[in-house]
Amino acid sequence: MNRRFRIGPSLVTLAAILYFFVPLYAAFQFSLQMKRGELSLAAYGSVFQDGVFINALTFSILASAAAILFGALLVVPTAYWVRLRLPKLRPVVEFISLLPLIIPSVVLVFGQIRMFGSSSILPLTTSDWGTNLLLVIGYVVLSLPYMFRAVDNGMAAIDIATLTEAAESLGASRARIVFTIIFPNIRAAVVSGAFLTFSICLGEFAIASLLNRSAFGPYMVQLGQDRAYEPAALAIMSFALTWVLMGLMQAFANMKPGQGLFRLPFQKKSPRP
Amino acid sequence: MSLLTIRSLVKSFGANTVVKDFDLHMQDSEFISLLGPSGCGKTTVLRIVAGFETPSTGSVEIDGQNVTGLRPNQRKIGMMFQSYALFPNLTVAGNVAFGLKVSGVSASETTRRVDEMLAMVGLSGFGARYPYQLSGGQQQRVALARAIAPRPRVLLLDEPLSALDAKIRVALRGEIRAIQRELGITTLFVTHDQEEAMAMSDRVVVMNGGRAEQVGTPDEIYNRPASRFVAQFIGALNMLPATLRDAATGMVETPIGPLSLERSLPQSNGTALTLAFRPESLRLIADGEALPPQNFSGRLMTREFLGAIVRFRAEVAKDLTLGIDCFNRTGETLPQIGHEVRLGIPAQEILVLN
Repeated sequence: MNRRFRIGPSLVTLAAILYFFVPLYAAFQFSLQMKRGELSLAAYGSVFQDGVFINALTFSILASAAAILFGALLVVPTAYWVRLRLPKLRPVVEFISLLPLIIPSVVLVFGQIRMFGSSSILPLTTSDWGTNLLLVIGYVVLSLPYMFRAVDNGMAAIDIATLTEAAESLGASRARIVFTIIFPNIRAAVVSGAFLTFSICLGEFAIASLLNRSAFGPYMVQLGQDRAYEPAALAIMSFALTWVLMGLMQAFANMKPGQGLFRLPFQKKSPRP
Repeated sequence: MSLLTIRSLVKSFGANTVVKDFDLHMQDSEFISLLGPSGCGKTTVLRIVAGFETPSTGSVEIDGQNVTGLRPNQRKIGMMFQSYALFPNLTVAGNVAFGLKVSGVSASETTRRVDEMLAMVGLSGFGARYPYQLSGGQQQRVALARAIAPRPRVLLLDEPLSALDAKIRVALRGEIRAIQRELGITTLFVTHDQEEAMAMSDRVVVMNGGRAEQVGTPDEIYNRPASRFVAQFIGALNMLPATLRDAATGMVETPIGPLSLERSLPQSNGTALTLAFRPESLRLIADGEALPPQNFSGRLMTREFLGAIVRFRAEVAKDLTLGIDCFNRTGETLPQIGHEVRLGIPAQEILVLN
């Protein structure tokens, strides 16, 4: 009886695996066929030799890092304050944080261009740094739903109110509490939010393209139009990067204070009295 | 001058007044417990002293300084919480050092003081561990070390023993009291556990409905309760309805017969009273033993063996049962359920409640 029941789920699992891996394998194989009649990593080499690729990737990594920093500095104190003092406002803040999922990024970037265009009071788009700033702000907004949720969940897991009171009774100021107690205790959540932000920013096209930034997203689209094998190689590399990030997220999420990031199974556990 | 003075404290949340006209004067090095049922306002009083709540009216003074308007981090208090509230990201030593670092104590002095505090709470050598590697009792010891390390003016304890199991609770309360005495820290302790309050405190404040019903030593609170609430809340109590027959001699009529209280009463004859006495005041009189002046009979209904004490309930009149506590002495045979027994009570141990 049991055996018959297991056939169905096994078939579904197999179908799901094939659905996911066959196109991936096809793309991988295609990316190896740049040289006629042999399998080679030539497409990958070609991607890395392209100076534009390195520039675009570096630019996007820096922009993502800035977005992660600004996002965390915006979201952590906000989520902390809302949980501690304004719990009634939480649904409102949650709704606002979800707006970027509803409003297309094209609308966001057009709004930015209108607000900060050359004829506005604050013409940020007329300078390089100003436009970069707009891009980073756009990234912060786009990643808001993920960052807020990750941080808010992280805060739900610790007793923020009592930890705050304990620190206050020891003489600590609010800023000190946020940076020495709250931030380190939700580090795993912030890191999760940061990785999600990173992967969103890396592939983002609309904002970067309309602000005319030479970021990784527009580069991938351009490459897809111009070349055959390199886009497949890029897709495989993007997948690999995403998996590494997911692995790191898991590792950070399971990490306890005082332990290294990579604790191997055979390593001794910390002593328990 | 008292070290902690609470004057005419009132705290309302909307229409609900949880602390009503509360006054307390604590002497230096004194240990006072706020004791009362859930919702009596004891935690609110403590939180107002800590600065986590603002009083609606009234004031809090520490060492002559009015701190009512000060933020919690400006009050130089130490606090222990029911949930330990150790910082999970810091080691034991990091937790204890936190308050010292905040107040700008030098690194060498911090290390010295952390070692001293950990030795005091019996956790030398635990400095490098993290809170999740400690048991509940150990975590609460760290919390105590952390609270006293910056030498606070007042130590506030918010039911710090409630989350621990019984044996550790008893051991830790003794340790807290010993350290408090050694350092001479003025301590305000909130609990709903009367045994804890009695065992640890110099004075106990019994609270009810936001007010202090009685402030006194554990002995006064237990033996001379100032109100019906205190008498009923502290320990177990037997109640007996009575009518005053002769105020001059203290003669009363009760369902178990006439009793003499052997003292004059201020009430007028005919007044309805309630007599109250502790279960340990009642004595089982063995066959052949001389009867005391106040005695009556009853039938044993239940018997609970509690180790050191055997607790009986006896029916002494229709629909009237009384509790009796007897010591469990080896070799002494105690009566069984269903037996008719003779009970005696010293007149001076009977309280009169209006």
